[in-house]
Amino acid sequence: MDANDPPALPPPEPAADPASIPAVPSAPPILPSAEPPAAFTFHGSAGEYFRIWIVNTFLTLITLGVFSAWAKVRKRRYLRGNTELLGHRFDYTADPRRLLIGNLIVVALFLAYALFGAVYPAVRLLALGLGLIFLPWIIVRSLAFNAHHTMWRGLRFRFHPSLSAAVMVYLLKPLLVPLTLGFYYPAWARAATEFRVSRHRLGTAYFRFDASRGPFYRAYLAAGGIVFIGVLLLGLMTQLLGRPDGAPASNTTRLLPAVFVYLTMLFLARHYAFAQLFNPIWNGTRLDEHRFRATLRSSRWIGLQFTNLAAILLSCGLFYPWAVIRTTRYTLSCLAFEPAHSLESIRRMGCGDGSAVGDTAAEFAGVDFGL
Amino acid sequence: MITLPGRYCDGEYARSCSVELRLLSNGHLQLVGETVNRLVPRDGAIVSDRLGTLPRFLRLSDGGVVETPDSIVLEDWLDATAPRRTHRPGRLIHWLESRATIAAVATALVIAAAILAFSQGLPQLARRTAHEVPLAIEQKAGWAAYSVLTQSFSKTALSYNDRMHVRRALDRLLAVEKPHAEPTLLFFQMGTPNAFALPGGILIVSDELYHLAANDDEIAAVLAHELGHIEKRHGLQSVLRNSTALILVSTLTGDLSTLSTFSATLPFLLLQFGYAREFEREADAFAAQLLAKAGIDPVHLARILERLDQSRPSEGADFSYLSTHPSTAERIDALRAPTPATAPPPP
Repeated sequence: MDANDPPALPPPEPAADPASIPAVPSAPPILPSAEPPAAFTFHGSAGEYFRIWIVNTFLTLITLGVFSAWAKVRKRRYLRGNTELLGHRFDYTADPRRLLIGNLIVVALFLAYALFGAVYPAVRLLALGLGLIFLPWIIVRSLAFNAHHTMWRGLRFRFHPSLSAAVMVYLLKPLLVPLTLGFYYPAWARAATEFRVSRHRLGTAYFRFDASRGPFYRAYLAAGGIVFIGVLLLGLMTQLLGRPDGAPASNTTRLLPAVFVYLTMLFLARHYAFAQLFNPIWNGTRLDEHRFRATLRSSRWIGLQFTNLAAILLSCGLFYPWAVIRTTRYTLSCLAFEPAHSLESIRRMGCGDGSAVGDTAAEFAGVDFGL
Repeated sequence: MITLPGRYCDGEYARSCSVELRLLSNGHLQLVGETVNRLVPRDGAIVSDRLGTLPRFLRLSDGGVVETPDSIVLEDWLDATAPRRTHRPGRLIHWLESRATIAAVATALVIAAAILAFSQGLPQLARRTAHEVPLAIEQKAGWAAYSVLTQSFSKTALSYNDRMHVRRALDRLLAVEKPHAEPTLLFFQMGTPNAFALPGGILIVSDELYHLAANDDEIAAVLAHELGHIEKRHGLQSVLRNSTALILVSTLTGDLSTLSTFSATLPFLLLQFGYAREFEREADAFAAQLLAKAGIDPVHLARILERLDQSRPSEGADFSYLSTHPSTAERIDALRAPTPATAPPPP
């Protein structure tokens, strides 16, 4: 999904984008904390971000896409840099040249796929198969890349890129979903969230994840219900709008309203699940013994996403920066950090720095990393 | 000596300390705070580019970081003390980003460029590329699409004689003008009057269409239209247009994953409909010329279009702006209007 532009990142970055992940109420008991809770403050403004966005878009255009890597870094820097916690801003330090190489590789692969795929259907299958096999690698490298380049208080975030664990979570466990007729999906979503959260660290402080499965089951069951209603509506409207003799409607136009309703229901389901899971995920996340406290309201979130969608569609995309800023601001306003004691004992600890190819590829595949 | 407020982290621990940044005229930098007092040589700190009103990060070579609010003073000092400017481009971009007039101009240019790219650039590119594709590849693509598309159709119930009627109508057209690919004519029962063309010369006619046609001229008219799709390589063009449009949109938004979202799906659908309509008009124009050359009145195409329209249940409103085919009335008008190829020579 689109959790990328905005800081969809290592845990202390909220999933800022109009689409990320999911969740439910009821936080686990919070340990008594010595330090007062610290709010995440967002300083970004829609006007400023719009200017940055449009100028960078223009530069991308006149450089035939080459500038897009620089544009991406500037946009991410803007969102992270305007996020403040305990008196310090987050920073994004990726080298645009590395992102550029990643972009070029991914675009070349996509073009090859689109062109050869049209001629040789076998190429399409082969490419999808290869893509699937590389998916865990792509996810892991992308998370590692973004974590490595996100800094706070002079320390880098890190993601421990364990390939075997990623294969387990992203290739093997999903096989259980169809086998259980989808009932394993919420458990899988929880496992994937745990994988992403608990392999992050900030210096020597490790993220941990101990949310229970209950909220995941509740959120996805409800979302599944919404999708089911969407399918029913789609079927009903197809009947009403299609040809009375039952032959397949030859004119796609007639089905457009039905498709519109169906897409709206999918959109609703996705954001409902995200909103329901946001609080349990963050309330179940710890940085060593320090906790997070999330207070996102589903109705507010869904209202936000529908107004974003309407504004973006009606403005032909020009309101996109505005949507990003207000989504990020609201998300961060719902999140607080509750240190158990002073953070001064957290130290630097290094390791590898991920891959920009993985980053672009992951974004392209629509993989959702937002938290 | 200029002083600025800041916060310092040593890069070793997550502790932070308020410092005073003293910008010395010799280019050195002094950090003075409760737990720190150090002198940093000018080349010992990399300063982050300006971006919006973000604080600047001074990254020291030992891993320490100083965060200080963005200020003109700092910028001037950097200018004065660093003979070799390394962050000029970043500064130019920041200058562009901070002006409302430039943002307004950029907005207008981006919109204009987007309109131009989607209405002219992509179609031109797709047209040229499609004509460069070797016939063998085109045919492979056509047969690949064929095997998918025809799965839901049943075997034709037309007699050999019926099929020969259609074949002869096709031969009349081919006698006048041969398309770049030798057409392969195939019949299926589709449950609805229909005909379509696939890349590489594959022509598919439904039994129902054959029965709908009043005479051989009308069949020839439909075939001429489909030959237009083949000759103009519309199938390949739409593949090329759609995939490049996808890349263009994602590069512009810098967010490849938006493609999976609602806000991108709908515009794409509309874009594809728009492109498809353009192809229909082009094929109509091609058919009108070809029919005239073969001595068939192009009005036959208008007639069979009319009959096709009547054979379908009324659509209520005419969503012609959304439809893959321009509204039938529009096409019939265009066909009935004299075109350069069909108009009688002036006396």
